[in-house]
Amino acid sequence: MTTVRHSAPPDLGYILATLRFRWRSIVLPIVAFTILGGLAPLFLGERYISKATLLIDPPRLAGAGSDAVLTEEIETLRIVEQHALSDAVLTALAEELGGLGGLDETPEELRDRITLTTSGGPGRGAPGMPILAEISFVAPTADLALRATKQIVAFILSEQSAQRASHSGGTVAHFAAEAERLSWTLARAEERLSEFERQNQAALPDSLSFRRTQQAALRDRLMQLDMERANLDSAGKAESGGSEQLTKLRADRAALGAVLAPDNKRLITLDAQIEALTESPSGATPDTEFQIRSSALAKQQDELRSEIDALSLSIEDTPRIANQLSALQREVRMAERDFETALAKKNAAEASTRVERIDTDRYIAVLHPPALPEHSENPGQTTLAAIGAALGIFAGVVLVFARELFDTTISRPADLRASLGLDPFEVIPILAPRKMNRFSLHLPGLH
Amino acid sequence: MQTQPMQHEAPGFFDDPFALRSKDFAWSQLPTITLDSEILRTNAILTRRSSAESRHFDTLRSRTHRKMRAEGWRRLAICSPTSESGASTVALNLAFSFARQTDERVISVEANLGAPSHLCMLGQPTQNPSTIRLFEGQDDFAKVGVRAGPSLGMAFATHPRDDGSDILRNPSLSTSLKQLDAGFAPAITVFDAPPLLEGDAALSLLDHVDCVLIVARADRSTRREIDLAERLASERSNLIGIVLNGCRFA
Repeated sequence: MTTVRHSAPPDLGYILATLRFRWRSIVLPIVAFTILGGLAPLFLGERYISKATLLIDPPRLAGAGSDAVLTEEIETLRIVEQHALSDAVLTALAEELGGLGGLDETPEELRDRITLTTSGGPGRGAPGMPILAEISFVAPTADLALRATKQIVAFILSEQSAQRASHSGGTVAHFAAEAERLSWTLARAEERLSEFERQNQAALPDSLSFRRTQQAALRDRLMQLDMERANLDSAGKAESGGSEQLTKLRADRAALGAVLAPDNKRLITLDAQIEALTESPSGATPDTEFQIRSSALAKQQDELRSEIDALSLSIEDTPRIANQLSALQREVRMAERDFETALAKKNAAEASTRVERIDTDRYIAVLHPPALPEHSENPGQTTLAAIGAALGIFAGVVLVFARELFDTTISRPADLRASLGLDPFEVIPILAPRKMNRFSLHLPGLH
Repeated sequence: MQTQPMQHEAPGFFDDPFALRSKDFAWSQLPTITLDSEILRTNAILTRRSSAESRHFDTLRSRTHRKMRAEGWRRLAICSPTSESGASTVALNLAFSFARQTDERVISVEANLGAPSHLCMLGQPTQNPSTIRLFEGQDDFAKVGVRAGPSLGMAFATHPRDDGSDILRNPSLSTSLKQLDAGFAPAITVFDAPPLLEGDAALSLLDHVDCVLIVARADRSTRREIDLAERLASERSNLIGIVLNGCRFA
């Protein structure tokens, strides 16, 4: 039994010859697809597209306002891309178009007819450039396409205007409230700083050197008082001789008075001497002045020591006070900075609001208004026929290769050799008779 | 398994001058037909005259003749695995080419009774009797055959018959063919046989021929058909080879 093997591998010549041989398999799909392409406009219907281009130009503010502008751009695009396709808009559009008897479709079907494309803008790699939003609507008639596009553009403009108005007021109010809050925070910080400085006025670091100088001066004064008191003590000792004699005479009088008679002369003499010493000014005045001056000096010394001790305590406490004071001052400075920032943002928002109020109509501008489409967007009959021909060529080639792939016939001697192991006894080519009708599909040599 | 092919006895007509004269007379008495060269060309019968177009058939003829002469074969069947493979065209071209090559007589017998086509391809009107009467032993070649040249005799099937298998299985076929050989002493008899895989008519005919050529149609005959036809032909006769007809890579 002969083993059946596969066909011989194809080469370029075989492929070209096969395409040439199977030309009917290519021509027939070409003809069929070309006819279908030519007849396609009869089944596709008309497609009119009305387009409008919106120019979205956000206000350009320097500094903190630029972030707000980018947010505004995103917000605007969100409005254009999402709100324009919302169910509310589409429902209104369906009622508008259906009411006029032109296009009776659901909002979902209308959504498929709307196309929104945006380009440019800082969010798309073109900083400083405005955003272009193109809106188009596909309808079976030119009038319907124009009306629908006008409706959509009108909605976008009104929606954006309302959104901008509410959003701008909200921004200013937000920054104003923030500034007020930070102002209160700053006042509280300043109040705490003042109270602290008032409570620790004697130990503030600003008066540290003064207090040290004052302490040194007080110590000098104390030393001076010490010296004055020492001099006073030495002077007092020199003047205290009369009083000691009086004391001795009184002691002797007391001792003799116990044993002698009162009229004893000796006692009378002692009494006269005592009386003389007692009545003498040098005997009583110097002692009293010494005591007064000594006590005054002692009092001054005590006061100086108290002052010096107080100064020492305040000087020792100054570093702690300085740290606390520095923290309070930092708190005040931060509050001041936050307050100034909020104030600047508030001012920027107010300025932006003023700009928008001036330029509201130009923030979203209709660059190209909706226009009545002049031609149907469907490709022409010639184009569709050409596309059909191209598809036919592709289908024909695929058909030929698929046919060859599953073909089990013998096409060439190599196939016979590969499948049956036999060389053909003779190979007779396709005969081309001279007088055969060239359009006849009949091939000779088949009987 | 290949059976032993039949070896048909060749008539020794050169040994008997009287018989030779008798055969010449019978041959000369065959009615002649006139062929239109343009019709022949239109139907791809290209070997009546030697030309560039006939070279493939002439090559096939030479190789076949060489093989038959070497083996002593005289009856050649041309068959195909299925119909419309070009067996009739090859058979007619071989017959004309054989007749052009040699002075010996060549006879073409149309045995594809199911789909006769020789008359149409040669541009001849329908005529009676048909080769069926020859196969059935009702008429001899002198009544059935015609001459298409000095050395080419032809017998045509005039009408299609569905019982070709029965006709070719008729026991009288062998006798009729022997009478043909005896009466006209053809050097080569070419039989246009029915398709091998469309009934057993071809197998019946192969029992009466010396060798067989299988004509496979390129891009039409499958590998399985050719393989099966080759095995059947080898079992019944001597297979000379497979002719790949209508090949676009020749």
